[in-house]
Amino acid sequence: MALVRWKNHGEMSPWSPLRDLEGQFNRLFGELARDYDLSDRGWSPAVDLKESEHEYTLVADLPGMKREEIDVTVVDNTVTLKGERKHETESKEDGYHCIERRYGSFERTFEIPGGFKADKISAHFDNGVLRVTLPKRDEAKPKQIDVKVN
Amino acid sequence: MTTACATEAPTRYLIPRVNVIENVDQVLIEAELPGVDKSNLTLEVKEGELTLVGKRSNGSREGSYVMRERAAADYRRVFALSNAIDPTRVEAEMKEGILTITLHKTERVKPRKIVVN
Repeated sequence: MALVRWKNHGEMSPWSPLRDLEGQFNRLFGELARDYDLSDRGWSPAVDLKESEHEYTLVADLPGMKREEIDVTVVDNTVTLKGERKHETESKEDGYHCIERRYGSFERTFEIPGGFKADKISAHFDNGVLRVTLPKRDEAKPKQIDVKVN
Repeated sequence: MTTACATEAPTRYLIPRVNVIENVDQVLIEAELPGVDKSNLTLEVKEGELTLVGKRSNGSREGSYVMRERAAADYRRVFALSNAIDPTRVEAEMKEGILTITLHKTERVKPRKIVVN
């Protein structure tokens, strides 16, 4: 998928209300497809990508998964999250009143603008949330250059 | 029979996905609450209703979003308990973002074998 910078509302441009609407539609249908499994690819976790001065942080909701079931791989400028969520308990005598939780495998790949230091990546899994910290390459960091004005 | 998947209209809350499973003497509710720590979770049984509220810790506020899919809201869901559930015996366990609530059925509704003499 292509990454588009997250836009805050209130941006002033004659086209911004339309762009806003487009963004909301895309987000709505993206969410619907994710929530109702229209895509027929199992489930797909919700992910945030944040950028700060020195690093990118990828945050994914993976409730009910075990650390060893989550696979994080990096190739070039991309990060791939992969895993499979299995039923914890399965018994024939039990009756289900409702099943809203999704199971199965997922795979998502993200392109990180400007890349990252592949050897400095760290990942933590806590309370069902995966946090991958991707330190920026030195050349991708903002630099201050003094320009002399004569 | 025992637990309706009742949900209140959300106002700034996320409704967690749940599975409700019934066996011979218990009803189990499994709720997905990623990002909720045990200390930020409240469970309350009142007037035949079980209310679950989970506050999500959203990590650092530093930086800007390149992509955002995770909603920045807390979780809340209300379950109606039938009178087949013993309201005094509710147990809960939190593990990897999944809350498992164990509700025990009252003795009255548990199946009993009767010996015929």
